[in-house]
Amino acid sequence: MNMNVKTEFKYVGTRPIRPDGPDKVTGRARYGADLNVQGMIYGHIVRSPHAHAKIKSIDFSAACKLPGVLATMSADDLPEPGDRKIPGGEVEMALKTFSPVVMARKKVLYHGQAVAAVAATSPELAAEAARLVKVEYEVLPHIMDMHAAARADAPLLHDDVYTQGVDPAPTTPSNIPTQIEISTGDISKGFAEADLVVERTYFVPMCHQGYIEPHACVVQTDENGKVDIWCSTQGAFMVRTLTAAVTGIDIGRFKVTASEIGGGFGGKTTVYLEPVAVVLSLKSGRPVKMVMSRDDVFRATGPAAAAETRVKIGVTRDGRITAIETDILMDCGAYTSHPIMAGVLFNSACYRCENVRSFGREVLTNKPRVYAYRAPGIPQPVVAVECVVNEIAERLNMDPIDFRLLNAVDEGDVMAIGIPFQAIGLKQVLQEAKAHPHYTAELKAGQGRGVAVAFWINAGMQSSATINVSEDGSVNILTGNPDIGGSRASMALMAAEVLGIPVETIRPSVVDTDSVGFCDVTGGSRTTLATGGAVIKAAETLVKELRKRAAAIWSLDIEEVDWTGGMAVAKSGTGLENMNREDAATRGDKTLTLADLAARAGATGGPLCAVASHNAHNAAPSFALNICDAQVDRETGKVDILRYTCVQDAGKAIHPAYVEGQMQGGAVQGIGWALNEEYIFNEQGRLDNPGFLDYRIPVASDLPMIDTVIVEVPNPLHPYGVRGVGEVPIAPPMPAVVTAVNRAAGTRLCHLPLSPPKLLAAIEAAEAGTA
Amino acid sequence: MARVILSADMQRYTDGIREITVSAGKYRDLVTELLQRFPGMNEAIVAKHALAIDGIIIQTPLLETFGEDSELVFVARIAGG
Repeated sequence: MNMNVKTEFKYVGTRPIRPDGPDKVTGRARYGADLNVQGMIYGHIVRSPHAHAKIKSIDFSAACKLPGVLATMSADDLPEPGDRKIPGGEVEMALKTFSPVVMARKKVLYHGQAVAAVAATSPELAAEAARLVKVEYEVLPHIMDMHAAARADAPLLHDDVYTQGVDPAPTTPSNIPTQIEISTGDISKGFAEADLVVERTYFVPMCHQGYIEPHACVVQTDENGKVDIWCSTQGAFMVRTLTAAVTGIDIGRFKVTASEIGGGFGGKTTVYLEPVAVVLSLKSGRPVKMVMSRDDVFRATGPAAAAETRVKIGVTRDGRITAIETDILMDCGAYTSHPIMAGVLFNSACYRCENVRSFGREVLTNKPRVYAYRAPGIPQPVVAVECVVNEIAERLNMDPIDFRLLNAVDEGDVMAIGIPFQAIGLKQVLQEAKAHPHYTAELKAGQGRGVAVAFWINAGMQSSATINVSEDGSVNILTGNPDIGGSRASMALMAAEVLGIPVETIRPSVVDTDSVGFCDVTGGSRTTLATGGAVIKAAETLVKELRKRAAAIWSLDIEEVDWTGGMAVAKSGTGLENMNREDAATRGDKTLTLADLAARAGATGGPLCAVASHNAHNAAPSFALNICDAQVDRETGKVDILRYTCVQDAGKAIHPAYVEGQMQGGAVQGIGWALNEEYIFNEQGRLDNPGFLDYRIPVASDLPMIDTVIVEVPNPLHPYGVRGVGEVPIAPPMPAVVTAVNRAAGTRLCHLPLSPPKLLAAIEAAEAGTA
Repeated sequence: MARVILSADMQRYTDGIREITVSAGKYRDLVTELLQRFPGMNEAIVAKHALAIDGIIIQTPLLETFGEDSELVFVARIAGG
């Protein structure tokens, strides 16, 4: 299935100014909360004060007496989810695992879960009315610790969750929805062959994606049953699908427009406010705006899972891995979402090893339902695997990159799950990292260096694109994927490459669900590959049409007309080499530019436009490596990241600056997760740090410039060699940082985050000889 | 005969058999063959999986075809972010 991959480009690989840049820096860009419409009222959510309780009754009477309160709602206004499954792009989702997150039904399973909502003529009035809603609860014992939740005698969150993946099928419910194990080879034999076996257990806390823009939407309904939604999301079509499912309203009544988005990272691949605002709008007959506070975002949206991973790796004394065993316990919050799958399947995918056993269990606790954070489920176990790999290299007195080169997978190697690798760039990534000046830069006393690599599978899925040509030959591209990481610029570059016209003459737009064909979410590192693939297809269709129009004008057969340098050229001329219009005119060749053909479109068949859609089956995996230098203040436990370098195989980088941005963004997020970020729940099961003062994400002054090296091993399945780039950057930072910090401090902390108090205690214990 | 590697979940219905060969050349025929050989398995279990054909993971393989020498791997569907 490999195809001819283009390697020479005119526009792809350049760095044009981003088309959304001026709007964003001048404040013109409109985000979720920026839309205001006439007659609009404001919704407010009533949230649970308990981590686990039965909802005995909800009384809106006092709230409704407040002048200006126009609508109320609860789960009674939504259909029972039953066992219905909803297509969610890569995976099906059970409606009962996310409808109660929108609005709790009968029970609340975490503090801050939505219980009811009101709408009123001002935000202040809506908040006041929400305070007057009387909810009677029967408080139940809550369970926050995943080990405790996994025990057979633990209080149950759900009485209908039976562990999948266990034989015989359990007859009693539990808090473990999923168990999975994969194995290949003979793990006992693999460890028996090892000269050195290292076994460690690492804990990674629940953390939030930390997107700057809170969730927000405006919903307008009308007397014809039409439902317009404006919202901040990673997928307008996803919002349409999920909101229709949660509300029970026909999908054909929805039009969803994605606003500009201030970050998502996987956290905006679902709905929270939209179905609520739809019901409130239908009940009030008014447009309804809803905006989450930062507190709401932390308490009630989906963070990344916490996980504990035990890893055991065996090696020969010459550094060959003989066995890898992992055992993961993953805290998924109150409803199952299966991030464990990727964690179990791919945690050691960077390494060639005949004997692998990987086991994992998801556990439900009274915390928010988790969602993706870039590469869901993989950073947590990769911390364990990569830190142990670094320890092994150190104990064998081997360079950690040489150790990885010795064991790295390459084309033709087979993953533990049986899938063979096509062309991949792991070894090139490792070689580039080893050659980078950072890797051999001298460290001072009290400083440490860590390296780590990671793998991510990436996705394809469904996308559509439309290309319209204006009368002057300018081009407009319409796609349905919210632009999170620079996709508009990438779409324009790929269209420019096919059409042969300057990228500046192309206007890429993200449009609503009525204005373009279906697109899966902007997620899974898929947009440049899949939606870009649709753009390439549409542009190729347009070129064929342009050749046909030119052939008609010249009374030639289409095969006698080529398209080169942004114009149609009659092949009967003196040749196509070194073609430009002046040369062609000098030689007497017939040429027609895009503008010429656009001006005569009416006379040659009508407006010039092309549409393409596809289900991209050509995704290819990515590998990334990070190098981190850290220094630890032994008196305070504060960590300074001194130098940081990311190396990543991007396939062909369509717009390199955006690829670098993804690498840098993932690195910064991973540094934060490693050093400070964690959800801290108190004894009542309430989140104690739901704001950026107490939930410490890195800011610019905390960080050095993140250096980047893009490795370009083309994806053999994509016409331009594109691979996904957005997810894998979250996986290597934590183990790189943890290794660097432990080396700098002389500690071996395995419990993240390595926050100053924890680090200081470990340093003091190490100095006292009690570690 | 195409070589098929079954996922851990599917192996629960095959008495632990991980690898088989099939005469099918189309996904639909592959499913039929699997259900005939392993009566405990059902279509819903198969449909939960993506299928990797010669190393290329396809989430929705309904119309896919493959060759006699193809390597097919059923793999749990993975959500991204």
